Amino acid sequence: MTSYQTTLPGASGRWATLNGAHHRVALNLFMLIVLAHWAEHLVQAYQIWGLGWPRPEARGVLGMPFPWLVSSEWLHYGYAVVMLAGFWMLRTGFVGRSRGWWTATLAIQFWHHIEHLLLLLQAQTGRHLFDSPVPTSLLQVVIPRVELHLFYNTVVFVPMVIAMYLHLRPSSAETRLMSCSCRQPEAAAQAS
Amino acid sequence: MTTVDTMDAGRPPAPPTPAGGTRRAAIVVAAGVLLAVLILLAFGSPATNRQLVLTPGDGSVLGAAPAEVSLRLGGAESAEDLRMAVTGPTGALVSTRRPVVRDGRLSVPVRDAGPGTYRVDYQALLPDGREISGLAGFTVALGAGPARPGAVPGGDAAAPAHHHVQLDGINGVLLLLDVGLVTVALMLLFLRPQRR
Repeated sequence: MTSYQTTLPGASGRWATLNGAHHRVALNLFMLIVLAHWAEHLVQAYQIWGLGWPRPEARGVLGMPFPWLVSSEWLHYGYAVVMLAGFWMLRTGFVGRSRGWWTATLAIQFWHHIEHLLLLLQAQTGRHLFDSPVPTSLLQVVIPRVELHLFYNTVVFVPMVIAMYLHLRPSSAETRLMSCSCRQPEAAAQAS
Repeated sequence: MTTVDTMDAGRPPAPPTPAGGTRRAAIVVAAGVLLAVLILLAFGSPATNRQLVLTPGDGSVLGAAPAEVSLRLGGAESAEDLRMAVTGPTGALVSTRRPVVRDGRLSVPVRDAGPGTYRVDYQALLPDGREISGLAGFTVALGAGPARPGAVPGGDAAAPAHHHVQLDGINGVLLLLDVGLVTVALMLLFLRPQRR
C-alpha cells in the first residue's frame, strides 16, 4: 500500500503528508475558515439590506465588538493570503476534474489577493490609485466596495465548491488516482 | 450493502460510532453558532447609530450639485480624526476645504462639478469612542434646470441617506447565489461519506 501511494500524484513532494494522510482534516479546517468568512459577509449583507442599518455600522458579527476588524486592511489582506496559501498547499491532493476547478480557484484568488495587496499598500503609503481620496481596488472604479468583494468572494467560491464536490464524489478513474485520506475505501476497492 | 443490511436484521442497533458522534457534535456547534448570530442580530440593533444622517442621501438623485455635504453625528457635538472627501463625476476632488464639525454635523463645502455621480468618503471618531466611516454617493441630473449651489441640502431630495439603501439586482443575485453555495458547502462538509 505504501509503495502504491508513493507513485500517485500528491503522495510525494513538499506537501505529501498534507495532501495525503491529512488532506481530509486540512480540507475540513479550510472549509470551516471559508464558511466563517462567508457567515460574516452574509450577516453584514443582512444588516445592510435586511435590517436597514447604516452601511458603516453594518460590521458583521465580530465587527460589532471589534469595529477595527472591518476597517483593517491588514486583516483583509491576511485572510486573502491565508486563502491563497490554502489553495496552493492543498492543490496537489486534487486529481482529475476537481484539480482543474481547484486550480481555477487558485488563479482567481491570486488576483483577489493582488487587489487586497494594492489596498494595503495604499493604506500604508497614503498614495491612492486614480487620485481617489480613499484606498481603491482596480475594479472598485466601477463597483462599490461591498458589492465588489461580494463579487470577488463569489467567483472564488463557485469553482471551490465545484472542486470540493468533485473531489468528494470522484469517478472510478479519479478514485484510482486519489491518494489522499478523502478517498473512500469502498470506492477505492471498486475502482481497483 | 444489501447483504450487510440482511445480516444486521434482528440484531440490536449498533452503538454510535465515534465518527457519527463527531458529526453530531459538529452539527450542534454549528447550530449554536447560528443561534448566537441570530441572538446578536435580534438584540444588537445599534439604535443610536441610526441617527447618522448624510445629506445628500446615499443613492439620492439631485437636480443640482449641493453646496456642501454633511453628516449628522447622531447627537455628538464634537469629533476627532475628521475626514470627509467628495469626488465628482470625473473622480477629481470637489470638496474644497477641510471638514469641520458644527452643530453636531460633519460637513465640507463642495464645488459644482456638473452632472454625474459624486462619491463621499467620511470618517470621524466620536467622543464615546465609536469610529464612524463609510462610502456613500449621490447623483446630479440636470432634469430640473441648471445646478444651483446651496439649493439642495435640507430639501426633499436630501433624504436620510443610509436608511434608503436598496438591494439592487446584482447584489440580490450574488447574495442568493452565495447563500446557495454556502448551503452546498455545508452539505459537503457535514454530509460527506463517512470513513470506516
